[in-house]
Amino acid sequence: MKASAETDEEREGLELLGPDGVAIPRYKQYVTFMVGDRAYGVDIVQVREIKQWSPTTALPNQPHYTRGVLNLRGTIVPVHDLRARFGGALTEATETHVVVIVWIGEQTVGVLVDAVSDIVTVSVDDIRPVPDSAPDADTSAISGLVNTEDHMVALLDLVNLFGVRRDHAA
Amino acid sequence: MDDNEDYQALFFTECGELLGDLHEQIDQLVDGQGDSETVNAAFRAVHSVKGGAAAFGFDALIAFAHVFETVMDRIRSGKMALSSEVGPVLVRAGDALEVLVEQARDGGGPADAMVERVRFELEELAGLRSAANEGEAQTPPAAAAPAAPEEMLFEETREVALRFAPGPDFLNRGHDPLRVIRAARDMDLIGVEPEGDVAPIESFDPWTCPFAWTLRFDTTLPQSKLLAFFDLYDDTCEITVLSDPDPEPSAQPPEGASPRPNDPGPAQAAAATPAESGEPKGEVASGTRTSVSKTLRVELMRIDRLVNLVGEIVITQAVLAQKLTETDAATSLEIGHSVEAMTRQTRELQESVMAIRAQPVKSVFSRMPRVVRDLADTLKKEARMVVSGEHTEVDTTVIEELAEPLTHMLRNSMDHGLEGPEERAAAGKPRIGTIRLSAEHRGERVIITIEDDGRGINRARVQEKAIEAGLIGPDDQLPPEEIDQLIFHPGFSTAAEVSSVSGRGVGMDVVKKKIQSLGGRCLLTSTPGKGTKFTITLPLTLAVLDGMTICVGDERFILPLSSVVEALRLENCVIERLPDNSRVLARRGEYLRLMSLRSALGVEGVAAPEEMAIVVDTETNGHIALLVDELIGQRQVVLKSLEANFRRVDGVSGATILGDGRVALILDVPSLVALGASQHFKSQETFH
Repeated sequence: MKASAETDEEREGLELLGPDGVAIPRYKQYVTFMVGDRAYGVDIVQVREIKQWSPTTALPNQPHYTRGVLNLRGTIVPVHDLRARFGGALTEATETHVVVIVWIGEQTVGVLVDAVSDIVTVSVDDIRPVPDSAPDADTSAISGLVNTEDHMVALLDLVNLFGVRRDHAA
Repeated sequence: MDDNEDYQALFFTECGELLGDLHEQIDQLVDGQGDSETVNAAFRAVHSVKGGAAAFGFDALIAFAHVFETVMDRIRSGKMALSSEVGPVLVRAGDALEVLVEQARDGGGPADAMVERVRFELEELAGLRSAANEGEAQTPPAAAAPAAPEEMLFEETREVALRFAPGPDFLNRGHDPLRVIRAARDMDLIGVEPEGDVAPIESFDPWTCPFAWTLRFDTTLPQSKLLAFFDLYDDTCEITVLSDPDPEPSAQPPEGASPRPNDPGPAQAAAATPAESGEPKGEVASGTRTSVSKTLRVELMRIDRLVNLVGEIVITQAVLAQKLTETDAATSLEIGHSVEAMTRQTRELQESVMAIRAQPVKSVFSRMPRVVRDLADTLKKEARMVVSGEHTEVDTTVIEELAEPLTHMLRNSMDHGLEGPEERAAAGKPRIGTIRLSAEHRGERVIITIEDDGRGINRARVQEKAIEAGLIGPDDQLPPEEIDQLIFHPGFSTAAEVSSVSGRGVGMDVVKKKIQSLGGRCLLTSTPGKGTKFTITLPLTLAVLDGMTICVGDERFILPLSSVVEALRLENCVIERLPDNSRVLARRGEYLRLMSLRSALGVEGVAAPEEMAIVVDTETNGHIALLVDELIGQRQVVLKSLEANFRRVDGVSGATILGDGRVALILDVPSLVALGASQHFKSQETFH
């Protein structure tokens, strides 16, 4: 939360006005990755590193989409399965699968995906809101949609997806 | 400016320690346990606070400390007996001094009525205020005292030269000559001349300062004020007055060791503060020099870095040892010996590092009597606090976190536990209630208890409220102990009887959560009419623990060795089935509940035979036996937090990293048992 909030502020501060007083379009970079044939993106400032999948240690009573925890150079990091988080089956993880290590506020979390594809630069103005169509669709997990040359990228709202919910902690 | 702030921070840290000691010394004196050394120590503590305060110009603090010091001096010199009237005044004076230090630290605030009252009492004791000149004393002392130091400035500046020679301990105590000199600039320092030379490299000792400085001031301050500035270092450096044309303003009458009883008016007496400080100083210096233990103040952050590094070494060492057993090198006896030696040394290294962080709980406990006194005042109750085991050592990380839950439990005991004096007398109890706070080591844990002799928990009322809050059904028949535990429930609010004391929106559930987050447990026992007892058990450190590695399915887990009683092979045991299909294990004539870790933890994978049973102590429900596949061995593990990046997980207190780099969970026996018990009924929890 904090990390993204700060960077947003920074960008706000950097907003430049052109000679005619119109804001010069601001750009953001996203790391995109694939789960099946769908593309997702995460703000690059939230990505800490990308790691090859390695077996994790399961936790008792973990959420169905959590794959357990792994050792990231001495710290314990939970790994969540993005496919399962969006209602799919658990990913049958192999060595070719990838864990994207991201910062969510103060926490470091791993997200299991099929493959990392690209880094895209998009103008903030090109980010489209998610249409609230189906009432049961988990739209809070997506903060926006972007069209790239190949496909549509759904931008993830990591806080809503995997952030700590204190009410579950007890 | 920054330097000065650092410097003030140092002063306040020191004040904290001095005040802690002072409270203890006063308590001893009041209980009649102290001797002349205790009086001396208390006097020195007050004196040091005063000296430091003078360096930063905290006038209210100086004035108060001075009166306090005068009283202590009278006791020390035998001019005043420690009567039953004097004792409580000293206790209050200790509190007032603390209030003033806090005010100085937090940047002022209005004069505290309590402080004024106590100062009045002290002044009476010091003979500064006699019954005869009571009328004169009506002048508000607050106005007179802080103004006093200004009154004695010289009309014109004069040049004073002091020689400042740091002693052998100066640097070790964390002082820095540069800072001293920079701070002295505030007092019209006009010149500094160093003397001395650095020794040749082979005999160079970096821990002692080879220099001395001559400081020249062009100042209106009296000499005493200048000297007072150096009071903070007075036992680690030598200050000599080289030249001073006129030490004190001539208006100032020469002062003796103790203020004369018929000194007219308190204002002038308070003004005498700095003038007097020269006298006791000589004695203080000679008194402390012998008793100063060699200590070094180190930033906690540096130690933490060391602790983390050592933690990593322990893991790496385990990896190395494991890797070696997999190679041919293991066959070599010499390598085996070296590995063993290294294991032992790493362990010693770790213990030594942890010992650096160990601190007596005194630093927290010493704050508690004041909490009780303040509350007794507010609540119009009479209470006395008995503290024991304050020298029990616990890791700093644990200590820091203790103050808040302890204070809250004390509040609870004072507010809900203890009755008012009349009610107590009617119940045939002594009018003054007693709260006992104690700490002791038990194995790898520390046990802290808070016990009051109040009315105990009002179970009917608790039950009523729990029903109101919907925590239990109206027809639920709970055993008394479970009713008591309800006060720890998050939904149990005391809103109906909000008082300014414990109804601050923080419930006992917060206390419990805090203790649990420290890897501890919170127990409550209460006897109606007799009192309530909170028992907290905490690990000695939050960093490492001795564990037993066990194997369930493909996963390995760590059981804290402190909760393991014994390990049994199932083939040697008799297992019976109870009517409800649960299993029990017969061991030496008693039956233990048998719990499968595999099902409690939901471990998937191949169903290997569960061949071993580990008997563990649940602390609350006696012993039970845990079924595991295999017992791997015993080792020390470095505790890593799951909460930092995830959240608290039931049945697990944390995680560690094994030799092969994988993560193993550290099991928490009591919550594991609760997990196992609820497993039967638990529907699949839904997330989101």
